[in-house]
Amino acid sequence: MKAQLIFKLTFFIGVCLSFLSLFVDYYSYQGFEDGELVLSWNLNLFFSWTTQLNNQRGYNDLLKPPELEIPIEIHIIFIVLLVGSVFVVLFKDVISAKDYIALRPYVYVLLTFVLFIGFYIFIIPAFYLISNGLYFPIITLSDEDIGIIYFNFINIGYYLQFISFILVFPYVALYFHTVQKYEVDHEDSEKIIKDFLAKENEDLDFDKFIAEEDIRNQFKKMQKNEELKVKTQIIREGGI
Amino acid sequence: MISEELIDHKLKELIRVCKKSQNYRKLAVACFILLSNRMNEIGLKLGIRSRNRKDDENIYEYMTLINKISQDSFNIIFFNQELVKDCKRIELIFLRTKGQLNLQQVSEAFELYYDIRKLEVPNLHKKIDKNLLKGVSEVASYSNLFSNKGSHQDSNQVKNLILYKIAKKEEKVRNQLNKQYSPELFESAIALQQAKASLERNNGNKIIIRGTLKDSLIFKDSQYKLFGFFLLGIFITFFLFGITMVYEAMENPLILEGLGSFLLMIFGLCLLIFFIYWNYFLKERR
Repeated sequence: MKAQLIFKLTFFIGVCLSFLSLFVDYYSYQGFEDGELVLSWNLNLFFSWTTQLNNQRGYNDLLKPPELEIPIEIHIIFIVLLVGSVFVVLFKDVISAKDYIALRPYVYVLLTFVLFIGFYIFIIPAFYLISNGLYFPIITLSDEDIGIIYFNFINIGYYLQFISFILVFPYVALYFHTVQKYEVDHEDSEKIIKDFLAKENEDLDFDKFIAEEDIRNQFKKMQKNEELKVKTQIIREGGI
Repeated sequence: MISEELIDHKLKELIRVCKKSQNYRKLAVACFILLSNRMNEIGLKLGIRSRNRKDDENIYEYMTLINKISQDSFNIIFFNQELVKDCKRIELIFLRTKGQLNLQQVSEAFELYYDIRKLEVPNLHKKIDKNLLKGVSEVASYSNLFSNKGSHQDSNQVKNLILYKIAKKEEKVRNQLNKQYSPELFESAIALQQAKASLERNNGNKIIIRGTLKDSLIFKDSQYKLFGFFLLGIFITFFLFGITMVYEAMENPLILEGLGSFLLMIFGLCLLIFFIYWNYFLKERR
């Protein structure tokens, strides 16, 4: 149980890191001219590109990277999945579950969540950053024509997603593996048959039967005694 | 459900008071309730529906149904014809007289009840006891051997061989059962049929556990798998990371110079992790 507790905990840490990563910088792109920062753009998954440089003129504005064209709905779906995964692990835990078939839909929630993290650490770099000339993971390049040294690097957001994948994966894999591999034997047949028979069988109240017959016997006896009493009285008094 | 000992004890008491009052109707009613309950139990254990009291299905009719089903499924007659005939006779008297049986008829009804109670019925829903499948189970374990190493065709051949063995054993058991009923033999017949059914039906090789996973011995033994999954997670993450960089290097070959050592490090780490995973987790499972 210790191992499960540890990995459950790592799952929750992973989920928190993944959530945090949405609000911190994912990738940064900077340019230095004679040691002076002339270009600075930070990519945030939610707020796209932001800059800390105030001058809107010059290289900074000119060399602004293309927009990350991922609709905000995708990130919202990710957050929903994230909340859903926490719910699944908290309330639909595989370790104490008695019906794995009922857990199947939750496996899909967890798997989609992991795939989404995979999307952030693999698909975005491969199909957005690299194809837009934003080098990955940490690259320093110099453009001798204009005398700018570019500094491209993944930022804390990416690292958080990266770590969260490692932390979330074991528990999700265990969940998936368990639901796929194991099947709870619901055939506690003796118990099922007992329960069914308790419902189906006619109730036989022996005590009631015995008590009824006892009363009948006592009543008969009393009747007999009464008759005997009357008879004795008749004989003694010589008539009614 | 009360135990048979308690039933017997209470019955004795009821017989005593009924004899005293000379009222045998209660005894007859009690006897038929017990009989009906016992029949339900037999039926359910054999996987047959319970007696349909709402539609006034008689006990002897239900016995005939059980016989028909056991004949169809296991080629044996569960209740002998004498027993069914006796039941029919007494039950019809009971119904006609609305329970007013005489002492002789009541004792006959009880005789019938105890005859039926003597029949030990194995639970059809119970899992197969491997001891009942001696000879067949040995072949089955060979089949596991083949299914791991051999081709699909091999495993099919072995499966056919097992089915053939089961069929032969089933025939032998049926012949013995037709000569004389024995609960052990009947259980064997059921077990063989279950084995056949499970071989013919592909259930995806799921491991069946009782209760919850945390109570299962299989699971307690395989807790270390989580550490395996952890390693697998690290491997996948770094592998994806490495693949992204390879893709980048393919897009811009000039960058390969800067990425080369980094790539080497990442794939080296992946290889190391996969090696550990393979040796300590994957190999073990195989």
